[in-house]
Amino acid sequence: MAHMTVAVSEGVFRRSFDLLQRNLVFEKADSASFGSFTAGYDVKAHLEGGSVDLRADGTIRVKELDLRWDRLRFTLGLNIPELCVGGGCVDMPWPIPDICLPRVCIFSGDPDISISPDLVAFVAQEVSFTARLVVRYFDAALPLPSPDLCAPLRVEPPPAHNQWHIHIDPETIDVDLFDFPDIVGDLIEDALTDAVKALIPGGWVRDLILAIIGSVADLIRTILDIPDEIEEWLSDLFNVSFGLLDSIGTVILDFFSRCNPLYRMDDPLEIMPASNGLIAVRIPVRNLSVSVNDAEMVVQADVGA
Amino acid sequence: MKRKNVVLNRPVFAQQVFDSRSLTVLTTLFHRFPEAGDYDLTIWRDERMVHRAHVRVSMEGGPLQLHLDLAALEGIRESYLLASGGVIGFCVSRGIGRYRVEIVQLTHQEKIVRLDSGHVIPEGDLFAVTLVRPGIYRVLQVGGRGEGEIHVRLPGKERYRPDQVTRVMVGKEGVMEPRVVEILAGQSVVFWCTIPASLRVEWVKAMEALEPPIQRPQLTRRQPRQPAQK
Amino acid sequence: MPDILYDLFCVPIEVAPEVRAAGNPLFTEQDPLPVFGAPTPIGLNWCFQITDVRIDFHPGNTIGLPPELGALPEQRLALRMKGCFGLDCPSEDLIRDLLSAVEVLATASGRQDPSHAVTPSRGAPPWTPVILPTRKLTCFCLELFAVAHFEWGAIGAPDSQWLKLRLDGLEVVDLEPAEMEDLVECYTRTVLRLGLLPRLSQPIESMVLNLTDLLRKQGLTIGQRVTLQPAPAPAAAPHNPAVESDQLMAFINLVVEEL
Repeated sequence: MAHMTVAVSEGVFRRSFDLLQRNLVFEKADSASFGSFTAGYDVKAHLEGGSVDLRADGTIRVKELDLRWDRLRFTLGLNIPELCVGGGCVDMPWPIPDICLPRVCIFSGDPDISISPDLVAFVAQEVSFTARLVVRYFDAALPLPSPDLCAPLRVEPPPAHNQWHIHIDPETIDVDLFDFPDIVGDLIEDALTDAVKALIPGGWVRDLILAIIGSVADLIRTILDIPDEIEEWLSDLFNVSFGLLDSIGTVILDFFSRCNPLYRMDDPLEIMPASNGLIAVRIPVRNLSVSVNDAEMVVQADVGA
Repeated sequence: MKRKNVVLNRPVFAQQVFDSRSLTVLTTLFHRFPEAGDYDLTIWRDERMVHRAHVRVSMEGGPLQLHLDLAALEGIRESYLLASGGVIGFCVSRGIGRYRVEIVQLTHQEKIVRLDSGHVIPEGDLFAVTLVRPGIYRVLQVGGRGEGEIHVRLPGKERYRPDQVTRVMVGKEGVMEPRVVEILAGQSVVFWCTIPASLRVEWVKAMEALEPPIQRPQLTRRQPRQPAQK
Repeated sequence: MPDILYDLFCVPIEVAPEVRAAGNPLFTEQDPLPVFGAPTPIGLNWCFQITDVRIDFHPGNTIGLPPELGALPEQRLALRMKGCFGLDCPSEDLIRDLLSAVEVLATASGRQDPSHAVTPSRGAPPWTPVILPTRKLTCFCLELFAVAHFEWGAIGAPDSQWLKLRLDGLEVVDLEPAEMEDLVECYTRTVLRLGLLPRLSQPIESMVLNLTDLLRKQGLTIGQRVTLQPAPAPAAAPHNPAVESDQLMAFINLVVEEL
């Protein structure tokens, strides 16, 4: 029998988890060039809600954690292609060769437009994962790894003395796909149209240029090379090209499994505080182990020599 | 929202008068070289010579068509090669310069001026205009009686292509066939001169509605009024 | 403290290196045992130690309680320890050395000439006792058996929660005469109840091995106070704390208040 056993009820475990996950902030910004356009994002999110279930098989199931976006800014830069008038050829009777006219381009310079709508209001996702509990021993004498990947994720500074740490170690993390609604496509199209119009003075000049462009929507689709609706293309961009789902998963994994223990215990453990000039009474803790069943988390340890 | 500064090619939108005697943006002059031989090419901008070159027109091969952007020429170039029967198109891509083209054929005995665009477009040559500003344009044969009309409309819902070209033949006595041409803004009209001619296209007014062809008295050269004969 | 003094204890003390490093004392200094009747205060060094403590939670299966304490009742723990007492009994040589001075002081009266006056005048502070130098202690140890239980209670602040050890019974084995046994038991009981056991009180957090420390900190950051309270017995658990199945069990509720 272990010298010391602590059993933590599912309720307390849930509360511990809830307090910890409130501190998780996912923040990332990046952009990439896709040839005819550049696309980027600047996002920030936190977690809320969710249910935590301790299971008889020793795993913890966290479900329906809301991934709440505080900022979901999407930046799109388009290079307006050359717009020209004239050109074309006219048939001439033999022996005169067909005459081809030069094109005259109406912009000089290389105009591009950029929009950065915030799509926060349009996306809601949930995160679920299954995890086990793992025990790690923190040796304060060892230097922190370099680079310290936990630095932006750590809720508490690293302890100054040795500790046992109990971590939640997610095994599989499910993050809902980004699925932008129709209205986002309209929003982007409107923003791009406004940007194109802002580029060109009003009046018949703009009307002509817009006529040459065709609809701005067609121009956009041509530049972006998308056959479908803009919002579907955007969802693919976020899900695949940007790799945001992977990034979110990685942050969740690092936050819980690597950077922030759910519970921690000093080694040696203070069982009587210092008083009247006498030092505290501490006992060394050895062989700490943790297990989970469907009612509670059980921590066991021995008192060292 | 950020945007890079856009520089509109202003003359494209501002120009309202196009004259074969001084080539500008949106005009192109095509000169045919039916005879093989050696030619001297001189380009003038605003009465200053800006380019000289040799043109070799050869029976043995070479391109049938060359385009020269008068606004992009520099200094002296050695020579151009063209196939016999081929065409050089002289155009202006940008700027407000006015250009004149002179082509002189070099034979053993003499120099023959084949083209002096400042005076007249020789027979067989073509003058093209690309009209951007919507409205009604009047076409005049300078020093002659020919006249025509071009209606330029903004494209509406129809499928629009700027590279549609309409050909007008300038024939005997300057008669233009067809006399009235309907195009969309940004499209071009090519005047094929079967007689030597100088052509001037000028914007007259905006087009309020689709009007029937205008009945006009034949336009003549203006002559000072003779005092009434007593 | 010089090492030589460690050897003077009745039972050598195994010192944890942290205690040595902190310079913490190994014993509490008390007044010396007075020599009654000495005309001038004379003190003898002495030592009292409780050592070799063993615990047996119910059911009792490693400590055999003496018949006076009976079988170990439910929810109780048995304790067995040694109480050792040592006295620095002065040697013959020492007594001989002191005797002449003591005799002078013992027979002193007004007939002494003032130059030899040894009695302090009325109103002056008493002389500090002469403490005889110690060379070794003469020790004896008694086996002590006790029965105790745990209970929750406050210490100081009324909402604090501590696990306290309470003595139910004590027995010194076979001391005669019986009255002396009673006296020794009384003294030992008093030492335990007022001296030793209060120091062993455990704050409630230590009963969960301080696991909720992080929880409390994080609760504060969102305006919640997280505290531990013993679960009410018998509603939440038949006994709390419970001493059974060779274990001490504490049942604790996490209480969260919005601040």
